[in-house]
Amino acid sequence: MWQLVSGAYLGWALGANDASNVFGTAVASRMLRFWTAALLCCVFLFLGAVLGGAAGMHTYSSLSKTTLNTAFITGLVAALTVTVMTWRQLPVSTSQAVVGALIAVGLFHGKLELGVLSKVVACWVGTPIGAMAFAVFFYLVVGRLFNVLNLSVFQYDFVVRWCLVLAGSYGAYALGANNVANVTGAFVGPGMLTPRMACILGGLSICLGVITFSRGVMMTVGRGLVKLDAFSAFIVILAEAVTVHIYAVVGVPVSTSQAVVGGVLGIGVVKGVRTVNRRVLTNIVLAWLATPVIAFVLAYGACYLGRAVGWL
Amino acid sequence: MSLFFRREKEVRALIKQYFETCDEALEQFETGVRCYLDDGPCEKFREIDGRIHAAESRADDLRRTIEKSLYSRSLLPESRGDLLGLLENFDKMPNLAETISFMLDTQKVPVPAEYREQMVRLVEVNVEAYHLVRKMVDKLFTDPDSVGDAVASVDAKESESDKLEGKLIRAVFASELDGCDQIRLRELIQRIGDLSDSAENVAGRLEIISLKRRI
Repeated sequence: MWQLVSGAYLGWALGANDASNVFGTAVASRMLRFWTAALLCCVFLFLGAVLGGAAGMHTYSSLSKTTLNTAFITGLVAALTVTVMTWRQLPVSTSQAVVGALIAVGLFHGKLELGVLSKVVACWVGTPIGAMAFAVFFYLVVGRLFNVLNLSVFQYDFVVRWCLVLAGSYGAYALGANNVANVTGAFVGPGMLTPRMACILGGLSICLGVITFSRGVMMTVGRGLVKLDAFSAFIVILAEAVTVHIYAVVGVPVSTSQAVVGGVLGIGVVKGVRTVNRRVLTNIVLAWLATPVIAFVLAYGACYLGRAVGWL
Repeated sequence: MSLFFRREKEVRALIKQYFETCDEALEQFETGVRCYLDDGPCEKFREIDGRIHAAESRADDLRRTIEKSLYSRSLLPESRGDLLGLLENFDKMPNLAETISFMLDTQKVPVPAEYREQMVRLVEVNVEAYHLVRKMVDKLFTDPDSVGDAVASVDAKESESDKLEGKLIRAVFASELDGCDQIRLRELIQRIGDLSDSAENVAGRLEIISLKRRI
């Protein structure tokens, strides 16, 4: 059972980092108290994990062969990669870190499903592009609806605030459904956890991260999004939530951070302005490439070391 | 959440009260200047001056309460910023009304009878510019798409005020009035004209606030 510690650590890190992508704007703009946002986030995130997290579990358990000890290595390496990349202030994807580690473990055991891997990588590419397309679509459609309604300043403010809360709650649901496999998916293959139990434990550990450590990240990421107008921030969160939810149904855990960047780029496209500067984009591409590579190298090294000392 | 939306209602009520207080200040201002032009710095004028000062003070207090409330936890940052900017700029008009009235009360600026009619018209035009902007404020809270319709009317009032100001100032300096009185009268004319300048600024701001919410 002790191997689950690495999964719990990863879940905690994921909750601390990714809650900002769904409720950062509402908290940073002080329209919601942190504890209200954290409560909403935890409720919907847990519901998402339990009701929609099973598909991702299946993908990870079929991607490569894992044992309890290599599942532990997967979780630990992914969590360390996320920690290091966060420390270097690079937009990190937990999903990419987990998959990088799973590839290493799969190669170590001599069993890696290339078909599943190619599906996962295709979804990684599709995440920012999908979010960008959704952002453009929602901006035009919802924007037209807003214009027809001719809302006064207070009405507009009221509607946009509720939209932010609803989109945030939906985003939390999508985050739970999509990302819970990152946390405990590696423990389903060796038979340590049933998919349902993995969803519950994974969901709880992500919620713990939201409650204990997401406040600071929410303020940082939220302030970045607040620089957009509130309506655009709502569209970005909605586009992110829909994209991530679709991939939850497909069963491929993806990055909410990359979906947010895609959404912000979409706003830039529809407004005809550059919303993300070149340096940020370069960092994203670098992180996109570096995350799975770092996790792969660390996990392969750990497996090699484990075998040398007779642990694996 | 319910507390949060209750605060928003409170802010809305305070804002309504603020604009009504400004209306009172401007209404008293028009009456006061007319009274001064008719009877000079009489007792009745001083009473009106007191009422202008009281209304302006109440408006200031209300504005500060609204600012605190907006900063505590109400509305989105962009709505907060827009409303604070609007109040800050709008507040220049009741402030000007108070300043002009104070100037008349303390300096007892002499206004020769031959300028009375033009001075009354100048006050009327500037107060009309204020009322147009007030209607724009109401539209912002009820029918924002039509806010921009009145911008041209405010501009027209401001232009009319500029022309009247120029005409009056030229006449004052061409007159036989004492140099000191000429300067005091010019300052009075310019201060009154500043009202429509402020109204024009507020109108522009209101149009931007409304346009920002068009997606």
